[in-house]
Amino acid sequence: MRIAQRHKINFNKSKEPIIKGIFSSGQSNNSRMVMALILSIGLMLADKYFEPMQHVRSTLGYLITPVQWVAGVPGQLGVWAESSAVSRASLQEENDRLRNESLVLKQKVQQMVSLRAENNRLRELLNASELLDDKVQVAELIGVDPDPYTHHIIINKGEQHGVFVGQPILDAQGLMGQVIEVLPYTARVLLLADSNHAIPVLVNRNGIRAIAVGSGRLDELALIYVPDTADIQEGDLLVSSGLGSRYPRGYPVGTITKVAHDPGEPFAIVSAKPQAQLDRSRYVLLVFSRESKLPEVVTKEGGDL
Amino acid sequence: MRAYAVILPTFFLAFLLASIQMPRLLDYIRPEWVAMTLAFWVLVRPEVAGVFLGFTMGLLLDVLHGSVLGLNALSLSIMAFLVILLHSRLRLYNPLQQSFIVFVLVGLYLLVRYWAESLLFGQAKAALLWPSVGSALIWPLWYNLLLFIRQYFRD
Repeated sequence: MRIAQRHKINFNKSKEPIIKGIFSSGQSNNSRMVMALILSIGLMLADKYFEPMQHVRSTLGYLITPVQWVAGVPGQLGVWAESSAVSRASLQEENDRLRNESLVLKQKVQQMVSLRAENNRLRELLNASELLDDKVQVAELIGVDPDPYTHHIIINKGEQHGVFVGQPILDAQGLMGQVIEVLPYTARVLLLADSNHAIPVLVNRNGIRAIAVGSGRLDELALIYVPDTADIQEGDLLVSSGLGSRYPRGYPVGTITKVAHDPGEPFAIVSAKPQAQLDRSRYVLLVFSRESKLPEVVTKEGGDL
Repeated sequence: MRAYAVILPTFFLAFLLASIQMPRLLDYIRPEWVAMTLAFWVLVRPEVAGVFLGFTMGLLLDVLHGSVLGLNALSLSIMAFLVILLHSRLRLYNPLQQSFIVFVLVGLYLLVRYWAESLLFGQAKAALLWPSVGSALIWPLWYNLLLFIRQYFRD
């Protein structure tokens, strides 16, 4: 009885469409379904095999951008509340700390200039190409992909700001990941820790090369195909090697946390902790490096390298 | 069409709920908001909302989640089609029965998506059960909220 009352309005309103449905719209539903099937299967194949489909995606992105902006608002409100409700004392403390830090960094930069010049001179002597500074741009994290099985983040810079697919992302401590999808005003970043991600690295201490793949957990990377005899120790710093021409060379990736040798395994079991704060960074840096944008040029100049 | 002036904002809400940040543990049973909203509109307005609405919203969901274009479009249009077939029967069900059917429908939607994805890429994430359970649990609430919105604005 109660249910009948609940749906009374529906009964009355729907009487007409049901009768219509018997005669006409049943047939058209089937044909609509067939059309939708063909369209979507065609789209999937096109998106998988044709590069230009990126434009379709970024056009649709205009519609989806407002959702991403609004979804990021609660987080931004939290940050705003946190930063506007700090006491004067803690602000002053932070100010002092930052001033000290800036002094130390400035001192380091002074040395940097002469060291870079010296480095370039030495590289010239070796006939190697000159190292250039990378241009960076600051972006803000506005969302984390809700899918618990992947590690993607959304940043607030997109096609309109010159972001491109494959662009490396850093935070203050080290490499975070790379851009995998660009929409007009936002971009999707694949983090180092995603299990679909791998990055060529080298051990800073002695230059041993390895590949660091994501483990699916935010605080762990695994080094694969490391021979048991390789000189890798706990606490070694891993930096990007620049091989693969996607990531620029020389940025910190992680520190080794565990080296184990299992006689039953062909390779050593080595794990590392990402240097970047993958679960904390709010501001990230987009790197505009020449290496990551122009893989063709690198292969052409292969002889020089 | 006046009806779309009500339908599209509810989808905006669904997209928002689908992308807003929540504790990691809740992510595992995050309901499929867009699929549920689609099911609702096809259920109450089958003459307005149908396969093509499912297709369009699926396409937008693909862009939002960064999956291959057409994946959600395919699975949501199939779900809309199923709801059209069932709608006159579904309306007679009590909330508990409806919840069960929603569990099956969302499960089917995820299954189709899983099949298509694994056919295309050889790998896919098989989170089928818990999102369907979450959707079935939240369905009575979401259904009544949307019903209220619909009747308030009298499309």
